[in-house]
Amino acid sequence: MAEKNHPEEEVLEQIWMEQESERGKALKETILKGEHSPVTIELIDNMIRDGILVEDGGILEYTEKGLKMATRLIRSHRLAERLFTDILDIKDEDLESNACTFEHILSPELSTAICTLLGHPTQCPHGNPIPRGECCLKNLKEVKKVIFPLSELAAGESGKITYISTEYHKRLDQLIGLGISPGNTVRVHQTVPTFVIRVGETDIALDREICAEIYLRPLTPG
Amino acid sequence: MHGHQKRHRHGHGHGSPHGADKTVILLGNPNVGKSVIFGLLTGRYVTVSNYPGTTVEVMGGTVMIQGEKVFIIDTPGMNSLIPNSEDERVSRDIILNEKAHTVIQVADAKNLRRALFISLQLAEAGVPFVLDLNMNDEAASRGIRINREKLSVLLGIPVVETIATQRKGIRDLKQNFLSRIESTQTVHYGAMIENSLKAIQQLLPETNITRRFLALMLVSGDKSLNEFLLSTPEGKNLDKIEAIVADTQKHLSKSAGFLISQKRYEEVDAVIDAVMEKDEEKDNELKTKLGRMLMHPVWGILPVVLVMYLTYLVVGVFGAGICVDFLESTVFGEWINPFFSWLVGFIPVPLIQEFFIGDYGIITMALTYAIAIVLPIVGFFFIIFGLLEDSGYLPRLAIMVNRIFKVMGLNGKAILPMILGLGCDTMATMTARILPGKKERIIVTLLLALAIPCSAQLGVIFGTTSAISGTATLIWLGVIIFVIFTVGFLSSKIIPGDKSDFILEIPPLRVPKISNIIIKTLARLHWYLKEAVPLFVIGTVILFILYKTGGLKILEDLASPLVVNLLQLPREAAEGFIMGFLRRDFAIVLLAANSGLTPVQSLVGVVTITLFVPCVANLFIMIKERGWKTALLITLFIFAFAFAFGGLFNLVIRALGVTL
Repeated sequence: MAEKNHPEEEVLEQIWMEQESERGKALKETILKGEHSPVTIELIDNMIRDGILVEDGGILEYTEKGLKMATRLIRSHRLAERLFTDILDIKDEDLESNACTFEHILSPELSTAICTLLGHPTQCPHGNPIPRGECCLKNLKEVKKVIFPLSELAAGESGKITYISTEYHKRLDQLIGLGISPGNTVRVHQTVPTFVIRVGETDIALDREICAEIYLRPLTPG
Repeated sequence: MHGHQKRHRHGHGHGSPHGADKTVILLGNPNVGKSVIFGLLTGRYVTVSNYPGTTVEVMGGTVMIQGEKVFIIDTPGMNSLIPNSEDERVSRDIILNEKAHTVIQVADAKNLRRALFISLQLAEAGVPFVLDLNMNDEAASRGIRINREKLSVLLGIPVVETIATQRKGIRDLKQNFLSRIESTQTVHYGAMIENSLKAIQQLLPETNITRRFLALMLVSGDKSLNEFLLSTPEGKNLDKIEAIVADTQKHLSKSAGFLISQKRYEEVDAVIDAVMEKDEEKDNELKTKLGRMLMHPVWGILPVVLVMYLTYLVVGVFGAGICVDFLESTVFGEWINPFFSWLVGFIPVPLIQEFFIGDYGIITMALTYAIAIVLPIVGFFFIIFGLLEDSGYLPRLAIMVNRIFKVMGLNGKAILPMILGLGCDTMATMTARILPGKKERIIVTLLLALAIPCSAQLGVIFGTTSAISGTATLIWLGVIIFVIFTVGFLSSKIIPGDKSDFILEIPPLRVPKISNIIIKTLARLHWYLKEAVPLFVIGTVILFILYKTGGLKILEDLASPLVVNLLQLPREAAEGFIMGFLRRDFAIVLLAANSGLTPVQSLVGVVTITLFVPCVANLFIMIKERGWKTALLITLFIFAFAFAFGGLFNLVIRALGVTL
């Protein structure tokens, strides 16, 4: 499992969890017991020597460097959880293990992209806060969107459908029957008097308000 | 309910209930050329019928294949076996209820993904089928190549290729026609859904399709199955089933139907990756460009006008003018009516003579009108309509008008019944069923009865107004359009209900096949003769009785104060209003016969009559389609509105001092 390959990162995470818990602080002995896997005293000592952690009367705390690392990890982890639940529909048991794998490989750029894609969420699916990233702190307007509703595309543009968010069951069934489903590429033919798009080899006309519920990643021409 | 046995499985043999040895169902997405294949297979031995309880046309035909008598059913186009429209539901019910030997799925080769979405469902339903990749030429011209052998191996069923419009591959299709092989494709939907499928399966009846597929439909949220389930002994399990479905949904983050579709597409895409290659876009076809131009916000307007003008020439000038003239004055006037006058002369009772050939006689009035006047007009109209339908222009027209129709709480799809109304309001009112929402159906029914003149009426209206002046015709047109939009707008605010989605597939432009147009037109005329003509006869009989009992006189006396005071028309015009109830055109003819009318009086009369009369057939169909209450409300509204508006129009036009 992921824990074995990234022991330092797991320690950073566990300290975060402890600080978030009712106790409000991370006792060294709790960390050493380890919730998932035991942590060796050498590992902690190494981390203190590397300037990631400090120990103060049996309580472990982050240094500035450590805090940065931990924030990035937790943020990636929780963003990944959101991504999996909201977009990819991965459930319960799979969710945790996948998020654990993801947190270690997400680059800051990728985190920013996911965060933007998801509209800068503030909580993970379990209700814990997601540490704010630079992209969230910058004004939302400045952020370059990755995902657009189909209704914002101009004639001639195309994109790949990422998800459809509608509360109408029938509408969704109808769209899917016509091949308008995530993963498919859509090309906009015209926007007035009515939206006409091509999916696969089929031309489909539909209301703008329905287009507003179909989200896609625009494809740059050529 | 005593409907338990109603939809029972047809025994175990392969016999078809249609007097043939076997039944084969043709199905597929819309616009894949199914009807053309059906036509090639069956020739002209075809029956067209409405599916029970619907207006959806289903064609059937018997043909000899491999020495066996095979009944072929051509189903309406579908995109999924889980129905979203009346058409799709009919197709699904046919699969569910017919004990078919096999199914032929016709696919548009260039839209393989959507076709395989249905194939996969057929596989899951345990229905044996043959996949026919049609329109191979169109696919090839768009750089799409499909490995047929590989596809056949992956699906585990026969796959054939055809180009139906060129009659290519039909022999191959016939050779595989009676193969009865089920596809081996399966999909696993994950533990959560699979478990509830297992639980539901145990509660379901045995049918022509697998329990697993029935369960899949139910988990997907298909409520249209409930009625069917209730007609089986297992109907008592419905509550339990719904509880399982609801519980499953609770554990899923997205709707179960969506997740199931997603899984299916994953499976479909895996097959497509294995069998299909596509070259880069070579999308420069003239037809494609023309197709786009027809939807263009500016360039698209010209074809709209052109199509309307051509329709007017064919239906109005040729059909309503030349043909009607010939049928009415020559065929009926000189041959048929004199013949029957002579024949009826042998009946000694004058009352019975009059019943057949009098002023309100069944032959001289009802049949002359229905056959000599309306038949040629609707006949030509249906030909034009069929051409528009098959060329793929109608959906493009729907796009052009979608936004304007929104004003009336409708969307572009409503253009179909509205245009059909220009042919025959009665038939158009039936077609209003294609609209998904109840609210839209009521609005369309109201507008048809109120303000859309049928072709019979239109001819006389144009005759009368253009005899006054060009200005009068334009004023009439403007006023009627104004009424359509105002009443439409207001009723969309008053009538409760949600507006429905506008999602419309636009088929590529195609050159219509004449044989197909002929079959369709004949089928529609057959409908007209069977359904509408008797209504004219009934109406005439009622009028005859009213005339004989003096009721007609009383009605005229009742109406005349309104006609005289409100509309400032002569008293005799009241007769026209009452007669118009039977013959929409006749009212205006009678009005025009009043030689002493001023131009203003004529125009006021024409406007009021256009709005006033839904003909008797139209009234009956409103009752049948919308129910007594709605039909009565609509009729009362129309009567009141027509007179009130006519009176107002009279005041305004006189006050403005318009010279006509």
